[in-house]
Amino acid sequence: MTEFGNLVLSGLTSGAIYAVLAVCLALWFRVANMLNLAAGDFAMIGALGVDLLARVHGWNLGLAIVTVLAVIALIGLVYDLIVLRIAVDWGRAREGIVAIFFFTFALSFVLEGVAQQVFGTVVHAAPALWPGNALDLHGLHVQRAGLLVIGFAVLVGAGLALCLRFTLVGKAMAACGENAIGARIVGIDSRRFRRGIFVLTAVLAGTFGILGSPITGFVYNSGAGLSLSGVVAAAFAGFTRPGRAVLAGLAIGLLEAFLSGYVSTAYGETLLYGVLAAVMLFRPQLMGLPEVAH
Amino acid sequence: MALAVSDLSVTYGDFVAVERASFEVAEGECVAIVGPNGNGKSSIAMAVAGLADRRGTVRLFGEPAPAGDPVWTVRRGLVLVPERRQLFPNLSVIDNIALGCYAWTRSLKAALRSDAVAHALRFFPQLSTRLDQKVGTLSGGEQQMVALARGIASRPRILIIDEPCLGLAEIVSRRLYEVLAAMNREGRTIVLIEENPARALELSHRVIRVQNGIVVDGARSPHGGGGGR
Amino acid sequence: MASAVGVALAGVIAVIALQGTYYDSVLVLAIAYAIVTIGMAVQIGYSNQLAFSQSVFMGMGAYAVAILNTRYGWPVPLALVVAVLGSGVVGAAVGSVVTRAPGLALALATVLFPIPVTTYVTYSTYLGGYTGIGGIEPLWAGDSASSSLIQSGIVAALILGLCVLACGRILRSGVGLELALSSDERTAAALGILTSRRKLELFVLGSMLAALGGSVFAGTQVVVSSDLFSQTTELTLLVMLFVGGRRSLIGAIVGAIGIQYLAGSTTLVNTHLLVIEGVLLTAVLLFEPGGLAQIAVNAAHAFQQRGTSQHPTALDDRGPSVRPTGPPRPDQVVPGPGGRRPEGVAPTLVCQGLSRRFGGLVAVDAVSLEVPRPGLYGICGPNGAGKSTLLELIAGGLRLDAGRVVLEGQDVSHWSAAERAQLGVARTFQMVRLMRHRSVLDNVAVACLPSHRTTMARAIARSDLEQARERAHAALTRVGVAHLAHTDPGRLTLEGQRMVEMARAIAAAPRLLLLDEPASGLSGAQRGRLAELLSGLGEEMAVVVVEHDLELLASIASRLFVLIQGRLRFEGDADDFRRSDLVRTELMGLIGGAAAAGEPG
Repeated sequence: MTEFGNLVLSGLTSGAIYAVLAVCLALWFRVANMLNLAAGDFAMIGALGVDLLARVHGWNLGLAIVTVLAVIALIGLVYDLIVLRIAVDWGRAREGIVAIFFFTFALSFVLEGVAQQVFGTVVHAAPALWPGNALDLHGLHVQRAGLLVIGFAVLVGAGLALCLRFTLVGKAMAACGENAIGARIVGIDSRRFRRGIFVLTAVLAGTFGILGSPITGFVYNSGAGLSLSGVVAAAFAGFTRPGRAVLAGLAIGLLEAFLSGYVSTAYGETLLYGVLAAVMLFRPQLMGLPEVAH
Repeated sequence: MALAVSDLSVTYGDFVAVERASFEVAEGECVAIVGPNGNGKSSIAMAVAGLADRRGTVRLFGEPAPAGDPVWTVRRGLVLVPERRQLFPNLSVIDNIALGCYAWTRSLKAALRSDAVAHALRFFPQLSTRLDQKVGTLSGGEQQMVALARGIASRPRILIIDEPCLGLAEIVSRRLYEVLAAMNREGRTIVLIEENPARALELSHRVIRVQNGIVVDGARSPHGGGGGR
Repeated sequence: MASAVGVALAGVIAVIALQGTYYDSVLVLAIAYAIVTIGMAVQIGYSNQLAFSQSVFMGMGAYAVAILNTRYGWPVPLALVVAVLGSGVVGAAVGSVVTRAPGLALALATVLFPIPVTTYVTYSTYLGGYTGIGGIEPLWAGDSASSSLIQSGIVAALILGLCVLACGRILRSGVGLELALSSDERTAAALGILTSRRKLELFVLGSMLAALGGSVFAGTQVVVSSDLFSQTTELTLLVMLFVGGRRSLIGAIVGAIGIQYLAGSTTLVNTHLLVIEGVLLTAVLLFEPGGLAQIAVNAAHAFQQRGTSQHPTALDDRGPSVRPTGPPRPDQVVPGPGGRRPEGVAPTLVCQGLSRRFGGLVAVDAVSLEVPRPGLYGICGPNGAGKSTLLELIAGGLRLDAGRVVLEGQDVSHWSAAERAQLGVARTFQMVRLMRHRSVLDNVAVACLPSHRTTMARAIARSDLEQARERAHAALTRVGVAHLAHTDPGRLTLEGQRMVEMARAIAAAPRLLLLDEPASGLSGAQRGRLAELLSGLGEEMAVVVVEHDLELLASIASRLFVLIQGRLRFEGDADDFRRSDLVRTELMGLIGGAAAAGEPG
C-alpha cells in the first residue's frame, strides 16, 4: 500500500511539473496560436538563477527569488517586444506550423547557450522554500517541495480555467488567439495581451522551477526535456484548455511513475513515450488538436 | 462632422489600394461607399478603423485619429463590421456579442446586463435561441447577424459596415438593412460599403463613389453637421 | 541535371583542393549532413510534412554500416546499400502508421522518437553503449588516413550529386506538384489526389536520405556514437535546413556546410554555438524565411527587374475582348485520369434521400434529386437552407447520415472525395485556395495529373508534368484566362481567382461539375461573363450551381431546385420558377426586372 502511495505521490509530483508547463503552453497558445518551446528553459533559469544568487553569492532567499523572476519577466518582455512583434506584424507568425514550433525553439537555444556560460554545466538545485525533511504521513514519504509544486499547479490551472470561462478579460484572451483581426475590431489590444501572457507564462514557469528544483536538480539543458513533456501534456488538452492541461500533466506523471515502478525502471521513460506516441498517432481525437491554419 | 477623411492613402507593398481619398460624413447621415470590387472600398474602411497602415488624416468627431490604433477609434465610438465578419468561431454567440462590449467595459456581468446587448438581441431575435452555440457552426446569414450584433454591443456612434450582404439570401439582406435603417433613425451614423449602387440607394441618403482607389463623386456632405434625415 | 552535376563537381574539386587542411574534414562531414538536409528540404520545406525523425534514421544508417563492417566484415559500400534499403523498409513501416495522423500529431510523435532510441542505444552493449562503435573502414580506402579521407570525400560528393539529381527530378515532376499541394488536404481530395500515398512516399524518401547521410558519415568518420540519434543532432539539422533555405536543395547544402564550418571554426564560436545557432535561426525566421537561398534569389531578381511596379492583373482592364472560347476541339479533350466509365444511358447524378445532421440541427432532410444529362442545374434557397451541405454530400466532403449518391450508375455513397473526383466529379470552393509558390498554370495542372498511376520512384525517371501543363493551358484558354498562366497567384483579382479555380475544375474533363456560389463578389459585367461561360460548359457536362443570384440562375439554368430548411421544396424549369408562389414568398421573388415581367399577383 505504501509503495503504491509513494508511487502515486512521486507521480503526482513529476506530473505537477508537466502540468504547470502544460498550462503555460496552453494559455499562450490560446492567445497567440504559438507554442512556447522555451517554457522549460524559463523554469531552468528560475532554479539555477536562485541557486546562483542565494547559495553561491549568499543573497537573502526572498530577494534572490524576486530578482530572478524580474529578470525572467524582462527577458520575456524584450523577446516579445523585439522578436514576436516583428514576427506577427510581418506575417511570419501566420505561416502555420513553422511559426508554432520554431520561433521559441530558437529562443530555447539562446537561453541554453547563455545558461551554459553563466551557470556552468553542473547540476544544481535551488534552496528549498519549505525546508525540512520529507514529511512522514502514515508511511508515505511526502516531500515538502512536492506538495508545493502540486498545490501550485492545481492553483494555477484552476485559476486560469475560471478566468477564461467567467471573465470578459479571459474571453478576450481566447478571442486574441481565435481571430487577431476580430479582436482588434472590438478594441482588444491583442499585442498587449500577447505580451502580458508571454511574460506571465515565463514567470510562472520560472516560479515552478524555483519551487520544484529541490526535487530534481537542474542543469543548463534541462529545459528541453521539460518543454517537451509540457507540450505532450498540453497536446492532450488540445493546447487550449488550462484546466484539462493540468489533469493531463498529472496523468502523464502518474503513468510515468507506474511504468517505472511496476514495469521497468531503466526503460520507464522509453515506455512512457511509446505509450504517448501511440495515443497521439492512433487516437488523435483524444487530443482535440486545433485545426492549424495555413 | 462625425467623420472627416482627407488625403487618405493606403498601399500594400507597391500596390496602391487607395489614393488620396477625401470625404466627409455628417452626424446622423447614412452614407454608402460604392464601387467595383477590388477598388479600395474595404481598404478605406479598414484604414479609417485603424486596422491598416495609412497616410493622411482621419478626424473622428473633430479629433484626429492616430493611425493604426483600432482601440482608440473603438473607444471613440467608431465601430467596424468588416468584410468576412471576423468572428471568433470557437466561442459562443453570446460570447462573441459580449466581447463587443469590451470597447467600454471589462466586466462580463455588466456586458451581459447592458442595454447595448439587449438592444442587439432585440434586433435579431433568432439569435436568442442560439446563444450558446459556437459561432463557427452557424450559417452565413446568422454569422452576419452576430457580427452586426457585436457591432451594436460596442455602442457605436458611427458604424461602418462592409459588404454585409455578400453571399446572403434576399430575405436576410432585407432584415439587415431594416436593422441598419432603425439604427440610423436612432441617430447613429451609418457608413455602408456596398458593391451594388442600386441596393445602396435603398438605404442611404448619399453615395460616395470610389474607382481605382480614388473618390470620384459624392465626397461632400450636404449637411453642415449634425443633421438628421 | 545541371545543378546535380555542378554540385558533384564542386564537391569533388573542393575536397581535392582542401586536402591536408582541417577544412577538408569539415567539408566531408558537412557533405554527410547535406545528404540528410536535402531530404529534409523536400520533406519539411517543400511539402510541409513536419517529421522530426531524421536524426534517428541517420543514426540507423550509420550504425548499420558500423555493425556490418566491424562485426561482420562487410565492405563499406555494400553495407551502405543494405543500410539504406533496410532503413527504407523501416521507414515504410513507421511511416505507414505515422503519416496517417494529423500534422501536429505527426510532428509531436516524431519529435519524441530520439528519446527512447537514444536511451536504448546507450544502454545496449551490442550497439557499443555509450562509447559507440569505432574502427569503421572508409568508403574508399587509400594508402593513408588522409588519402582515405580525400577518396571517401570524393565518393561522398558524388553521392550528394546523385541525391540532388534524384530529388530535383522528383520536385520538377508531376509528383513534385502533388507534394506541394499535399498539405492542403481538402483541395487535394477534391482534385482526386491520393495524399496518403504521397505522404508515405515522402516519409520513406526522407528516411532513406537520412540513412544514406548516416552511412556516408560512418564511412568517413571512422567512429559512430549514440548522440547521432539524439535531439541535439536533429536540432542541428533543422538549423542547417532553415538557415540555408528550407525550400531549396542547394540551400540545404549551403546550410549544412555553413553551420558545420561554424561549429568547428574557433573556440569562441564553439562555446557560444548554441546562442549563435539560436540567433541565426531567429533572424532567418523573421527576416527571410527562405533562408540564404532566398536571399540570393531575391538579390538576383532585384538586379534583373529594376523599376517596374506590379499591379494585379485585372480582367476588367482588358475589357470585353476577353471572351471564353467555344467548346474545346476534339484533340484538346484528352481522356482524363482515373477509372472512367464509358458514357452510357445512366443518369449523371442521382441523389436519393440524402440526409445529414449536425448535433440537433438537420441540415439536409431526405433530399432526392436527379441530374440526368449534361446541362445547367441550379440549387438555390435562403441562408441556412443546407445548399452548401448538400454540395458537400454530393462531392464526398461530408459523410451521409442516410441516403444514396449514385454517379452514372455507380453507388458512391461511401466513396471518399478523392475517389469521386477520379470518377469525374469536380467542384469549386467559395474560398479559393491556390498554391502560393507555383504559377497559375501549375495550380491548374495539378488537376490533370494521373495521381493514382504514378509513384515517386517512377517520377525520377519520367515526369507527367508537361502533358498536364498542356491540358491546363487548354483549360485556361477555355475559360478565357490563358493570359494569366504565368501570373503569381497572389496577384490575382477576385474574378481572376474564380476563373482559375474554374479552369482547375474543368481541366480534367469532369462529368459532373459542382459550383459553390461562383458569382459571389463579382460585379454585374463579371457576372455576365460568368453566365456565358457556364452556358457553354453546360453543353459539355452536367453543371450544378449553388447560387444566391436568382436572376443569374433563372437566366441560364434549365432546371432549378429550391432548398428550404434542408428540404427540397421546388423543382422545375425557369418559367415555373418565376411563376411559383412558393418561390415568391419564400425567396422574396426575383430582384428587379424579372419579377415585374412575371405574372401579376
